Amino acid sequence: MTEALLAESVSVMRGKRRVIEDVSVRADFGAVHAIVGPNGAGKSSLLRALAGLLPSTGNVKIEGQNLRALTVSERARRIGWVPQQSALASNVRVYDVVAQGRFAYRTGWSHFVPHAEPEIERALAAAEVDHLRERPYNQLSGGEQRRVLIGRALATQARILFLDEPTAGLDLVHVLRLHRLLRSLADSGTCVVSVLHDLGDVQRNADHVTLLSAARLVAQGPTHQVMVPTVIESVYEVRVCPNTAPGFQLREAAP
Amino acid sequence: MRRLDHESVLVARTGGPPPIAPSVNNGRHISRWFWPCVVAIFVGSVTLGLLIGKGSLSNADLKDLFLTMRMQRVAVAFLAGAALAVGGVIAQGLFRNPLADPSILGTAAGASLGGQSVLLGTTILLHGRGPTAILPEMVTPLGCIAGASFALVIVLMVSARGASPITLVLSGFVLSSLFISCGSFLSSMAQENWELMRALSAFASGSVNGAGARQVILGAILVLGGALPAWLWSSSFDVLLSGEEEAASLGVNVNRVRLWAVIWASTITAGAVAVGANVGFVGLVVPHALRRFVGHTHRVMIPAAFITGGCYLVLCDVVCRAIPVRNEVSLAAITGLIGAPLFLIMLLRMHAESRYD
Repeated sequence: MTEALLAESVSVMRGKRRVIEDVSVRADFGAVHAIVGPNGAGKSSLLRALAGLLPSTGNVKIEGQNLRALTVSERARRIGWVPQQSALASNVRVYDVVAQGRFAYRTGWSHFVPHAEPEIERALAAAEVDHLRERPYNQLSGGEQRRVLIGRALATQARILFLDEPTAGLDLVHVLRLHRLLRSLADSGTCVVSVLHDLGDVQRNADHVTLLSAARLVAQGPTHQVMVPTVIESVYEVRVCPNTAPGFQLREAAP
Repeated sequence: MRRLDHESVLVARTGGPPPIAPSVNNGRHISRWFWPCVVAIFVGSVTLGLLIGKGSLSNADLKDLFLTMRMQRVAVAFLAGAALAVGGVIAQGLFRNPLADPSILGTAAGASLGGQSVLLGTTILLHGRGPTAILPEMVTPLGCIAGASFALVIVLMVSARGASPITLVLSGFVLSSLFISCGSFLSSMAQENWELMRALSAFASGSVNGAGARQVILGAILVLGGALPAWLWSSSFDVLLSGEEEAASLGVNVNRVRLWAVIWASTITAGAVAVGANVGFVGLVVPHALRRFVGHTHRVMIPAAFITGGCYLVLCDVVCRAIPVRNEVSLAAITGLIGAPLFLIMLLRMHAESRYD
């Protein structure tokens, strides 16, 4: 697989506290990469630093180019950012929210975002929010809002997608739909990097895992190699028991 | 690659994504009657502004003089209203706070104090010896811009510390009070010079009575010079509504946009104050009324606020002239009577919402 992101010795300070210490990450195109760890491990800080949204030390390369050498617009065209929850609280139409993804492509001396571009239509369809296009953003459910934000990130045409806890606060159905969407994006060649909490979700949906604990990297590699009982027990301070009881697994119903 | 096993017992009935709706309008969602209504309001308010006032237009000798004077007064009121309304739109986008307004954030008071300081300073420095070409109208706008920028930067610094919308409003109120007190102090210092004291008081008076061609030209330069670039950068303000981090992730150079937004908001507020229209709540009332018709998109909001804000202040000025009292009712009194209750309602509504968040 082609390398999308390569970060070496990344450290992040917040005030006097070091929230990420000497972490190196690699993520490839066509794969879902999960960043996991206990609360306070520094997952979201690492994601922000990799996206260039938080000052950091170390070296981050996006598609082979140094992140710091990119302009704000160039960075936005390469990395799609999906926050856990948008600060957008106004009744802006879904279409206009997704169209904001085209901001980095504006031309000339004005700051007008070009409207009616085919990329916006494609992003609306890919994020499955086409039917919501005229609805005000602040009247959507949490799951719908999350998909609109993914649509906005897709409209940037970035081949790297960063998501900060995309399943937080979502009900079962929306979690399943979101993971299906992320998988289809990865299958189409996108590099998906996502902070996840649910280890079951990670095992089922991620190809690679970066495991953090107390601001440091604990393990990194294919999911089946990282998410093993010994590692989980040491990081999360729990005891992993084999699942002997009859259980069930959830998936989406066929349309 | 995918490790999702399909051995479920319970099946989540999502029904898949809903069918795709037919493609509808891209970009516009305002009523097709909106702009014709705006044009009608513009024509109506300007006509009223020309027809109503002291002195009869039936007197053929004085008709042209009255019409010229009223036209200049209408033009100044329109420019000032447009400036304050657009200033409100920019401030509300910049602070992501519907209560932000040049008069509430202390920007207008800062512009007024800046103008007064420059006027006093140039008078003392020149002491009647300076070149007569340096008219107060030429130098005071610079002081107004500096004062408005100073006030906005202070409020931005408060906002950068994560202040709540209500804290921001309180900070603006304190700044306004401080600037008004300083202005009164300056006026007291100029008591020896009656002309100067009258000029200083004019800044705080909130009236477009007696506006002439100079004020029209000055107002047009400052107001258009601030409003036009702000409109061209409207998409940046739209994206900033999502917060700084998201805006940066979408390609907005946040610091640069904030800097220019402060400069434009200061320039247009200075334009309104420099022509004498230091009146409150226009930037609160007009955008608030418009939002239900045009939404939050700055590309539409800025020109809509420009025209309707101008019409609003022209109509307020018409009301001032129409009330039969010996001296005209102050323009600031009319805008305050309309704006202050609305501000209070919005403040209480915001407070109630924050309690249940």
